[in-house]
This record gives sequence, C-alpha cells and structure tokens, in this order.
Amino acid sequence: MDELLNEFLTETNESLATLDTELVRFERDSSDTRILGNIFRLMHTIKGTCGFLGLPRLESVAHAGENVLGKFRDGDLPVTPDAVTLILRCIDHIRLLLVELGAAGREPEGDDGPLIGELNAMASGEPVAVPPADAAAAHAIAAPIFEEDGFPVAAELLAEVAEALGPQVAAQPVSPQRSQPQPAAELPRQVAEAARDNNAKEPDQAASSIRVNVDVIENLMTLISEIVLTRNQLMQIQRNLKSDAFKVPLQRLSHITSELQDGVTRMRMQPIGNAWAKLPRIVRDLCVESGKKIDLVQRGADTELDRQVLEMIKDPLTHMVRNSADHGVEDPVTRRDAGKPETGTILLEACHEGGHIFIRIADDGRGLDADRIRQKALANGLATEAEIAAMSEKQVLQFIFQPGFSTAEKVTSVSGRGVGMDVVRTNIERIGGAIEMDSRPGEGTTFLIKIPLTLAIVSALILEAGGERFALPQINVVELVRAGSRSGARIETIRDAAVLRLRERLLPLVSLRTVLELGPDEVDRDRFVLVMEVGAFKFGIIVDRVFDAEEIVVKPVAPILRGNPFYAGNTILGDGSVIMILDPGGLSALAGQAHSNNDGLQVAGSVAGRDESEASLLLFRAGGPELKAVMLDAILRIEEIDAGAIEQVGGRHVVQYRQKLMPLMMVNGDQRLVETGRQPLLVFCDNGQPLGLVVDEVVDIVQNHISLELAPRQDGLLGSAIVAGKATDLVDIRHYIEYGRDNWIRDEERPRLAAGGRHG
Amino acid sequence: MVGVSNGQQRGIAGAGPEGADIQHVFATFHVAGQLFGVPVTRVQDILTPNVIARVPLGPAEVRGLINQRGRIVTVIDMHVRLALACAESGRGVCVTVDSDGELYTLLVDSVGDVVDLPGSAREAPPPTLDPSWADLSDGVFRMGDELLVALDVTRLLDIRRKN
Amino acid sequence: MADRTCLVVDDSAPIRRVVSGMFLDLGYAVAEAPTGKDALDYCRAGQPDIVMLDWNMPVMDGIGCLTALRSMPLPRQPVVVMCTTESQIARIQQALSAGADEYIIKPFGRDVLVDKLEQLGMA
Repeated sequence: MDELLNEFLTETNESLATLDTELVRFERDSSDTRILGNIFRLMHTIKGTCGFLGLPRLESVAHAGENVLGKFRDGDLPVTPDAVTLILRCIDHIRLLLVELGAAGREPEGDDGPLIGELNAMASGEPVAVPPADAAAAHAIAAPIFEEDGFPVAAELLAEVAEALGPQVAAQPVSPQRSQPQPAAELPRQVAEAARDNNAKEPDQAASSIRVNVDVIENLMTLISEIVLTRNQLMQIQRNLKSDAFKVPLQRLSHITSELQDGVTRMRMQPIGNAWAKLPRIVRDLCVESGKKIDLVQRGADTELDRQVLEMIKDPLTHMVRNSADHGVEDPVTRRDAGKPETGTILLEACHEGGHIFIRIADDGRGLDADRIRQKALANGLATEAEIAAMSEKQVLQFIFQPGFSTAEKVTSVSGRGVGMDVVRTNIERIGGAIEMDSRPGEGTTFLIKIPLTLAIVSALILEAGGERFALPQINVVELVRAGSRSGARIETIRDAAVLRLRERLLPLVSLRTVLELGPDEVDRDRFVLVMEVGAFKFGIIVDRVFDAEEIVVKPVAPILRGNPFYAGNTILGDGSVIMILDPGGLSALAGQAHSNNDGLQVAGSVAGRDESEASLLLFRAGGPELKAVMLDAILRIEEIDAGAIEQVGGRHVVQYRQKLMPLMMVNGDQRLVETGRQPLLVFCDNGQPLGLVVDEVVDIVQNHISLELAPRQDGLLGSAIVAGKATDLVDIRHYIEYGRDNWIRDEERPRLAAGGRHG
Repeated sequence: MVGVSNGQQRGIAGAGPEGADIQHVFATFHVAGQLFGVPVTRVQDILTPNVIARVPLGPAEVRGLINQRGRIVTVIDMHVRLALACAESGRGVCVTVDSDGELYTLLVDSVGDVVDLPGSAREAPPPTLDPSWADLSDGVFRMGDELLVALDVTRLLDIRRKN
Repeated sequence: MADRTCLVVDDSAPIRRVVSGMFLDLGYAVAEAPTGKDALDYCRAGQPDIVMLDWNMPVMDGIGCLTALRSMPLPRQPVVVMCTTESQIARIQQALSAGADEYIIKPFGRDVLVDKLEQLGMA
C-alpha cells in the first residue's frame, strides 16, 4: 500500500480512538471547553488531511461531523446524549470507510447522504431521531493500535539503539521522503528532530516520539536475541579456555549486549492505557443501551508493558470490563434499593511491582451468584451434585474459569461476543501470568491479573531429569531444595502422590521424570526440588540436577509440537544445544490435579483460593472400614515401622524413633496392631516430642472442603469432610496429642523418656 | 538450486495429458531401502545431524530438535513417519525442508542425486505400494530399475491430521 | 545545496508529507514540526525562509505560534503562510494582523502553492 495512505490510516485511527474517549469524557462534563477544543481539532485535522489526500467521501463525512462539533463549541447546540451518539456514529462510519480504504487502497463507492443529512439536521437544530451507535462495529475496529504497522517510540531510545547498531539501521526509523531527499533537506530535519528531543517534558507525545514500523522493532529484537546467543556461546568458550585473553572484551560485550537488550525491550514497551482506550466508549454505549450508570475509573494508565503482552491481554481486559458493566453493576433502581449509590464504579488499575505488572479490574456490583454457578456447573456436567456440595463458595466461583462456562442470562449486543473467562485465563497463563478472583455477594467482584514484564528474553534455570536438559523460567521459582537420600529434606510418597515437608507445610510434588515419561524416579540418589509459585499455588518439581541460570531467548515451538501443556517454547543454549523450555503453568495444573483430582474432585484452577474451610486432607483407615481424614498440615511424617520394633512399656506401645521413644496411640478401641510385617503410622509432633497414631492403611491425599462442627459427636473428631460424596470423619490430632501427654508423659514421667533417648 | 518455478511444481499434482512433458526435479533419498523424492524447490539444506535434542512426550515421528546455524529445526524420523523398519544404527542424513516458514528436517538413511524426470516416467502406483503411503505420495516414477515414490511435503508434515 | 529552507508545521503527518513533497520538488530544503511549539524551537535554531503554518494544532495553535514567532528577536524573520480551511474573511484578517504574510486555503495543490510563492517572490 501507498506509504502515505498507510500513515494516514494509522494516524486517523489513533485520532478516532482518542475521539471516542474524549467524547465520552465530554458527555460527562460538557462545560470543559478544553476537551471540546481537542475533539474539534481532531475531527478538523481528519477533514483537512482527507482534503489533501483526495478522499472526498471521508472529507464530507468528517466535515459534517465537524459542523456539529463547531455548534457545540460555539454554544449554538446543546450537548445531548443523542447528539453525542450521532457524533459517535459519524466516527464509526469514518472507521468503516477507513477499513475499506485500507483494504482496497482507495475510497469505496457509496452514499453517505443519510448520515450527513442527519448531522446537518442536528447542526441546524432540527430534531433528529437517533438510533444507537453501532457498538459492534466500533468494537470490532476501534483503536487498532496493534493492527497498524507502526507505533510511537521514544526518540531517545531509538537514537540509543540506532547508535549501537550502526548507520544502516539508524536510517530506517526516520520516515523516508516521498521525493528524492537532498542532502541539505536532511539537515534541518535532523535539527528539528533534535529540537524535539529537548522537549522531553512536553506532554504531547508526538513531540518526543517518532513512528517506527513494528517489523523494524521485531527485527531488532530478533537480532539482539541472536547477539545474546552468540555472547552466551563466547562465554561458554571462555569458561573452557585456560587463557584470560578474551575476558575483558567479553565482559564489555556482555555489558553492551545487556544494555542493548534493555533498550530494545524498553522500546517495545507501550502504556497499558493503549489497551484501555476503547473501554470508556464500550461502557458508555452499554450505559446508554441499558440505562445503567457507571463510572469507569482508570489508574496507572501510563504503566508500560511489552507490546506482545499488551496484545495478549487486550481482549481479556475488554471482556472483563464488559462483563463487569453488563453483569456486575446493577441498574440504578436495584442499586438504590440495595442502599448503594446509583452510579456504579468499575476500577481499572495497573501497577508495576518487582518484575511483574499487576492489573486489577474491580466493580462494586452484585458479585457473582454462587447458586447460579452451582446450577450451571451441574447442568453443564462440570461436576456432580456431591462434588459441588463438598465445595467451598470460593471453589464454586472458580467454575467461571472452566471452558464453556458463562453466567450471562441474556446476551446483549455489548456482552456475549465470544470469549469466556476460560479463554481469558488461558491467554493470561500462556504469557506466564496468573489470574485470581474474589467476589462478594452485593459488594462486587475483583479480578487480579499478574503478568511478567517481558516475554522475549527470560532468565531460566537449566536442569536435568532422566538424562535430558530443560530450561525453567526463573520467575516462578521461589526456592531450590536439595532432597537427599540420606541428608537434606525428604521426599515422601503417599500412595502415588509425592510430597515434601517444607517448614511445617507439605508441598505437593511432581516429578519431571514421571511427567515427561523419562523413566522411573531414582529414589536412592540425591535429587532436587524446585519450589514453584504459580498464582497462589505452591508446588515442587523433582529434578535430578540443577545447573546454572542462563538468559535464554524464548522461541515458540514448531506447530507440530504445539498442544503440549508442559512446554513454553524452546531455545538454543550457549553451548549450541537445543533444549525445551518448561511451562510452569502446565506443571502447576498437573500438580494441582495430582493432589486433588484422585477422587474426581475438581478444583477449578491452580490459583483456587484456599480459604479456611478448605484443606489438604490425608485419608486413612483405622479400626474400621470407613475412611477417616486428618489435616495434612498437622502430620510430621508418614512412617512404616517393623512390627517387631514395637515395644510394650507399662501397658502402652512405644517405638524407638529418631533417638527418642515415641508413644503409639490407637484411633479407637477396635484397632489392632499388625502382628508381623510393617505397621503404618502417622507421626505428629508435640513440642519436639513425636507421637505416633497407628493406622491400618494410608489411602490418599486430597484437597477438600471441610466443615467444622461446633459440638463434635465424639471425642477426637474435629468435624467432617465430604470426600467423593461421602461424609468422612475428620480426626482431631490435638485430642490424641493431649491424650498422649496426659496419659503417657504424666504417668511415665519424663526421666523415662530421657533414658529412652540415651538408649537410642 | 535447479530452476524450477513454483508454477511448474504445482503441475505435478494435476499431471494430466498436457502435463505429461513437465519435468519433475526431485531430491532423492533412501529410507529402509526404498527410494523417495521430494521436490527440490522445497529443500533448504542437507546436513549430517550432530546432536539431536529429544522432545519428551512429542509425537513419535519427531525424533527431536537440532540447531541448524542458529535456527531450531524439528527432526522428522522418516522410518517412523513412513512406518518402515526401525532406523539402522548409523546416524543418517537430514534433508531440511521449509513448510510455511518453519523448518523441518527429514532424517533419512542416505541421500541420493537430484534427478530430473519427465512426466512420462510417472506410473500408476503398483499394488505392492504400502497403502499408508498413498496419502503422502504425489505419484510413483520409474527410474531405471528402481521406483521412486514422490512425497508431498505438506502432507508429510501434517502429523496431527494423521493422528 | 538548496537555496531556501521551508518549515512545514501541521499536526497531521500525511499533510506534512504532502506539503513537504511539493517544496522539495520546488528545490527547497524542508523541515517539519508537528506543533506550534516545535516550530518555535526550530525557528530559534534553524532559520527557515518560509513557514507553512497550520491553524488548528495541539499544544500551541497557529495564531499563538505566529504571535510568539513575530515577537522573537531573530536575525531574520521568516515569511509565514497561514494554512487554513477557514475561508471566512474574519479569520484571514486575524491571521494577517497577527503577522502572517500570506494565507492559503487547505487543501491546496502545487499550482496554487506556486501562485502564492510567486506573489511572495519566493518561487
């Protein structure tokens, strides 16, 4: 396409996006002449430019719009919602013409008479019946900040990068002249550019930025990725060399590479406000259509994030705001009856914190309807009645993230256009982010999104499992634990689920060998556990070895390999070898499942809130066929001891355990110790004193909803839990600890225990 | 590279009577004793693989990934893809082909000549031809006393469809 | 080496490009500025011979820029052509009394521009 035309399309689309936003602001406060001045100027510039480029249809539509705006400005025409809607329709119409112009390269044939007639009638003060603005059209093409070829980049950044890369690249970003540029012509241009740089404080974006084709930046990014790889290779060679000859220049190269990388990364940054630009218009149209009153409050719109990331979250954000406006915020009457202000608020907030961007979308609406979600989940076969009954409110709400789930009762023209929250979550997790949700009936719903700052180059740990090396993005790794066969932390296996006790918490584990089918786990050797945090969910990954951290360039896997949730991409390491990059999100989902899904229980999402009525439970049998449960947090270890090692002291059972004498307790009177073989025990700790609870069989670990009973039916019971549709007794460990203390320690006196300790 | 335009290349699929005199230029290779050919225009590179990085849980046809001059290239094990006997212990040769800008490399036993065959050398597939190849094949050509099975690269790489 | 330099001031990049193209064809060296404020900064350092000044611009509009320019102690004041879509006499009058040498109605073609430059003795 003609470059001039391209430039025009880009600029005009930007102007239209601003017009949308400014008009909505102006409608709220029609006394603000500054906003109106800006609106008028934007429309005027569109008209003027169309005139120059010989685009008569666009020019006449813009002219008619400008006329109405002129009447607003001169106070000849009152600013009514109808008049604003008409202007918005005018903007939408210009947009449609631009789309056709962009596709065909010239203005399409057609008649704009009716719209121009309406605008002229409005300008002359005649009453006009105004149909609503075509919201769908506006949303489909509004503010195409990413569809366009270029976007503004701070000139100083470009200069920085251009300097580093040499003249041929430096020449590219400056828009080429249509005619043959003469050397003398370039000179004042550069001076003008330099003059602009001095205006860094100038609020006008155009003054301190120039437009660069996206491809140029993507290309730069690729080149820099290659430099990073080459640097890594050189550093690898240097490490293997005896000589230090390359050390200094290599350090310098390394330093420059990092700066270059940083510079281009910053160049790719765009304010998140770009992704919010069309939201005021969407909310406004929805208000007009539904009669609601909503304030859209934006905070931190200047928070910058990577263009690619912005592109990925733009649609999810739009969807969530639309949802909030459509289903969250109530109509004025309902709000008034509920004792709330008639005007609802949707808050959009972005901020920067430690390598992450946090985005909050909060409304003060009615909150999610847990009952309806339950019904819907049941109707859609997402869970059985018993499973749902066992779930906490918070768990139930997480169903909205399940594929195909939507609580919308009716589809309005604004909402219900496509994506559901499952897609939102998938999109966000795909870029290494996480989404959490909190909703309170009558008070509103809040979504919190956490996303990494940039995607292209990440710091990763290189690790090994089953003889294969993998890269794991460090962003989710919170700790590295050595799990030795003799020393260090111990990996325990309960049925098929591995867990690690870490600072009095049991951490669910996944073994990379098992997950990727790289052979059986080598239990006898030293292994490592990478403690991961994905969203609010903590889990561990068992690997064989961990090497250095390395800066890696994330490259997408070939289409043939896509669809595997455990890989986020692949890369070439410094030594030239190719390795797969693991996806912490995919592994976390698996870890969540392994520990909650064994009985078909669905915990919707790895970031499912774990409220006080939900816990990890260890299921066991003792003194009867029915399942019993105990809070996993309370257990120190699960042991199997040789039946022969159990001694009788004063009519009670004890066993030597870790240099101490450990009393054993039965869950109830029906229980018997095994006579031969191994006796399973649950080991608890009371102020450093181990106590063993004798069980017949350890069955499973589940993540489950529990209900605590105020007046337990029986001593030693804390309450009950519904596990796979069956009520299961929840054993109160405190009871046994106290029982043990009262009946054992007091009776037998401490010196005995101490003596036992010496023997051990 | 031999000068065959894409337009002529498309002629292969619809080799009717008027396409009979079109020349077909193939890069040839052997897999488990059978001669195959792919249009030479699709071939980017031929190399001996150094280290192939495995992709655990990947499709069986994917032997792994290699670093081909700074680009990550997916290695397709032609023995598996063509349901032939397992690869010999030798390392084999990689024939790198382009598919929608993505590079794949076909791991074969050995690479033969680039051959130039007239449309008239095209034959009806013999009944002994493995039926599973029919879908991947663009025709069978007589080459002296050997039969060359021409492969359609796009369908060859469409592993998901097969599965 | 071009004899004369023209500064094209307009907030629309396509318009700047079209007008710049016309001046380049006429053998001018060309500089561009997107706002009145940038134009002033340029005039301080760049000494243009002629300024094509748009009326409606953000940050500082054409009249504001013209007024400020004329009050600047420059060794040589440039010729200023006010570019406007406003054909009302009042507007043209306002521009001329603020110190514009000429006005031109947008959109204009090369012929009209050459006419105006001839009148100004700058063709």
